[in-house]
Amino acid sequence: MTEYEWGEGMVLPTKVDWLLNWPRKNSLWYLLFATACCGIELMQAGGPRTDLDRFGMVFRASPRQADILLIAGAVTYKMADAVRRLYDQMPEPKYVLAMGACANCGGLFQKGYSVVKGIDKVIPVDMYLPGCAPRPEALNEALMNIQKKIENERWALRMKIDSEKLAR
Amino acid sequence: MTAPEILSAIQTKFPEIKLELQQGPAGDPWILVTSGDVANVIRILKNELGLNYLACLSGIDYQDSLGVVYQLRSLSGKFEIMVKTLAPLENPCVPTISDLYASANWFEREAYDLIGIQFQGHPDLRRIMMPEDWVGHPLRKDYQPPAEYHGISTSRPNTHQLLDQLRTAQNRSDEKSKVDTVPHVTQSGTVIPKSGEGQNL
Amino acid sequence: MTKLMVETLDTESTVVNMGPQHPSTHGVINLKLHLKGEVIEAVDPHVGFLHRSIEKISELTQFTGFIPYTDRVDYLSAMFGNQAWCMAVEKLLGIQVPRRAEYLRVIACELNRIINHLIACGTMAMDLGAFTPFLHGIREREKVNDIMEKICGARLNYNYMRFGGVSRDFMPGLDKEILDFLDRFEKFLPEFNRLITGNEIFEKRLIHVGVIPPDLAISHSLGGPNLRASGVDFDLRRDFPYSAYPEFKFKVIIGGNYRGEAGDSFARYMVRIEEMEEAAKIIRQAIAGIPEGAYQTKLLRNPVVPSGEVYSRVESTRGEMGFHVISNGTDTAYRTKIRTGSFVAMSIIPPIAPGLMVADLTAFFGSLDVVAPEVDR
Repeated sequence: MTEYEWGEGMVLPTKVDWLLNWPRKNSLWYLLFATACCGIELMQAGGPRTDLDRFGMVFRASPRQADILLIAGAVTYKMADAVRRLYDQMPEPKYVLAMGACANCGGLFQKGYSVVKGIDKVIPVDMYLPGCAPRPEALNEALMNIQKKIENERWALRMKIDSEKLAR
Repeated sequence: MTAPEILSAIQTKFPEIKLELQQGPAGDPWILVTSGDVANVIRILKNELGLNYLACLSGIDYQDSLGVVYQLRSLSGKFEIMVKTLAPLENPCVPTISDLYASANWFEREAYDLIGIQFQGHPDLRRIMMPEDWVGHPLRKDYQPPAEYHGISTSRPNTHQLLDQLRTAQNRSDEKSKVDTVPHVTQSGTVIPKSGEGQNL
Repeated sequence: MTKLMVETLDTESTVVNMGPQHPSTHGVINLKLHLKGEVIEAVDPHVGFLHRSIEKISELTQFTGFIPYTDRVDYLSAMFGNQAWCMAVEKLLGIQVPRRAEYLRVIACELNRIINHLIACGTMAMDLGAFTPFLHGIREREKVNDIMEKICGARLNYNYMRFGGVSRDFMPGLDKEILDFLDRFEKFLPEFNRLITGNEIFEKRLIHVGVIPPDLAISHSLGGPNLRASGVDFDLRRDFPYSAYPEFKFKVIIGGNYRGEAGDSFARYMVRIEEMEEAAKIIRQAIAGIPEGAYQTKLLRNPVVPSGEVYSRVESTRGEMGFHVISNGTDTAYRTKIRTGSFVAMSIIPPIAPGLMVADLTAFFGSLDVVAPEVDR
């Protein structure tokens, strides 16, 4: 929890923030979107040894029901339109984790002509996870970092940002 | 049956077809056929010699011509042969073999998409790998990728330039004070974050 | 609904998009279905959503540097990609691989075959609605991932083989660990079979669905379990022998002896289950008979390969994985064409799918064991 000093912020919204963020971070539902090799590590992370279900994360097939979009694998220009459409379909608040080298920057396919050099050219990214393919334990750490990020969110500020986005 | 035996088997029955057996300094031999005759030769290979399995069909850019290579195999006789044909760069037309082997349909679509060879008589010649509105044939040697596609830029970040900027900023700050105010870049390019930052996200 | 309404109810053909993001398409594949009600009239597959231009990169990377890319062509059977590429370049270089290295390659490849078929059968069951078998398969796969980490250092993209052999020798005690895993696996497989194979719902959904006649399978250049389930007796390991396979005794599994008919989805599934058992037998023979010796013929790090063309193929888990390599006398390939089993398996969907219902198409597609990276490379 963030600590506030008198005059800088108030104590009551902090507690309300914590109360609103705690259930959100403990039940992040991820969209089942696996493109390439990182998708297999995502499936293994959902498997018995490294279990994502204990964090409250289950996979959903429809973007309308998902909180977090895990871009697992290389995205090509042909697929980029579909990724953008999936991201737009997800309801707020939503988060994006770029998993693996291909989603971060194009990975080892940067020399090629058909891979988008980093998914942040298409959608905004909250967390980058390096690796090729990252171990399921690394995926756990990245998701826990996203949970820490959610924990520190301030709802008053968030709603202000959202209304700005809607106004544009 | 080896490649010379197959060549002589076709040549004796059909002496008017021009065939040539070639081989590089290393690797497998192949039978070179002109592009007008290649469908007939492959039909003969399939019907008379029993090569009923098309293992692979690839298009090649030889820079002065475009080539198509067929890998044919006989499942019962357990032998295989490589057949090659060349087509001119300005008008690369090769007759299709999709009526002989059903898998050639997709292989030829891929060769058209990536190399640009026109297969005459193909029922459905359209792009398969690249998006429908992509311009150019990517596997050609003189291919230049576009600068952007649907608003997404295709350029790689210039990491050398970024690291140089970070290094010059670091050098300037080292002269000012001892405390790290910019990320530290080592000689090999590893970026070490500022003191107080890093592991605690 | 009254009788009058039913008589005047007229359905027209609609186009429904299945994919590219879809839980059952095993990757990013787009199937445009022309539906009349629930029955499919035509299927138009759109692929290329994972086209990562690996063939172009082979013209920009040196031969040794391309080995990690061959893992990612089909990441579920990465060892086969490594082996096909190394065999092609070794043929061009004209070097011989030591016998111990061939045995190590066979052990790695057959382990890879087991874990690939576990995922294939598991995801097929998941497509039909059963989630538990998939988790059973993943649990066994985790054990093999540990073994693979001890073999080559990586869980998924192995980069294990080099020209002239493999990159490192087995750690001491690793063969005992593999044998322990195989003992455990042979107890696991009957449990898996009791769970799904004998299940009545599973059989009803797969028997007589998506029958591929043998001449159509040959004409479409299918390979691997897809071809053998239709009754065609062809296996590259036996008919065009390579590596150390001539020294092992193994059965080639052909469809037609199971419930249903040869070439239906159940036959393809059963061929995969039995191939896992055969792979376990091959690994046992290999570990029992592995010779001492070098694990690699030492080469320059970036060999200059003489010019020529070669086509090398291996019996991969999904069919034939072939590399047609053209070299022009430098240390970079001139052109590489990668031929994969999933590409041709996709091409058999338009002729077979009309007449199936959408749920049957999911079962048929799962039984073909298509993965998107192999289709698109």
